Amino acid sequence: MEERDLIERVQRGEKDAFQDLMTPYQRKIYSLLYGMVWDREDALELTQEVFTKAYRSIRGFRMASSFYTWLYRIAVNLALDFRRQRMTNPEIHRAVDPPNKERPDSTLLRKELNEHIRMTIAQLPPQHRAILLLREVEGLSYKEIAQVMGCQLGTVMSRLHYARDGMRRTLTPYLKGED
Amino acid sequence: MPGCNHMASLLDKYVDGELRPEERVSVEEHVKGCHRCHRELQELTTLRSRLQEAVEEGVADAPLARIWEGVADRLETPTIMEQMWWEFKGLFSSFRPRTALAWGTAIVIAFLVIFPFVTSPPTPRVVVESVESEHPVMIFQGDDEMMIVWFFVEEEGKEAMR
Repeated sequence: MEERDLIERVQRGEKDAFQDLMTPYQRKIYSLLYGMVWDREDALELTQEVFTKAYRSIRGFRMASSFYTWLYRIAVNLALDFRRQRMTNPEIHRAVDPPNKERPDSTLLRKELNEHIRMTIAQLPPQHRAILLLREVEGLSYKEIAQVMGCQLGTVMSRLHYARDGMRRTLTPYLKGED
Repeated sequence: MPGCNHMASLLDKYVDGELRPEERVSVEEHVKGCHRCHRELQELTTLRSRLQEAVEEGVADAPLARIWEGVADRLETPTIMEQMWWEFKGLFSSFRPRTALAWGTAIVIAFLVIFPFVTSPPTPRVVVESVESEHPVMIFQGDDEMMIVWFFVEEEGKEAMR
């Protein structure tokens, strides 16, 4: 069934169609949110929150924009709100995920690199972080990112450049001699 | 061949596939002969793959099945607006015509009694200025920013105004 039909069914109040509509997006939304908060449980809770909000506000969705940019916008806004709350309530910060001992291929170097990436991303301004993830991980075009973030194309490009520049400066030792 | 400074702004767009075909060719030709830009381009593509791998590691064993448990729980919990609506509807769930009429009458009477006290009395016009002269002048100003100027002229023993 086409996405448009599913959206219309959910808008008419058919709750069952909602899971069919959202299933293709659940992994994408989760990965974006994981990149924003870098914690599995927080990312899970935020994904649930995004889907709940999407269900409750889908009647207001007009087909003028694409559904996934609408969904990403909800996700980014909730992630930014979440970060703001964390900034004002630092005591509820969770610890970094413990090392996963079940995976034999998770080498120390990879762990170290991922930890560096996590720390470097954490230092980026939230809006820059969202744009970086939407481009690098989700593969959205500049135009789509501008729609999600509600900003100009030029702003997307400058923030993306700034974010990459910051990442590259910190991660240079890990980026040299590759490929 | 364009210089490195010009290239810097194009390399991001190049890796993002946001350049026109002729611009892509221009970047590729420059990068072939420029070690610095070549390295920068490599770093950009490596950064992307490292970032994707780092996120993927966290997502690989993500408990995606649990998403729907949480969504179902949340959807069963009413929002504040829904709660308020149900409370409002609950007021009328045991609707009795006589009770409703009695309540309605009481509300109207209460409104009529309270209304004169809560409405502010009209602001009286105030005399801003009066000038004593051969023809007295009085200036009134109301709260609606309207100004009235009165001239008093005595004519044959009676007072007239202009």
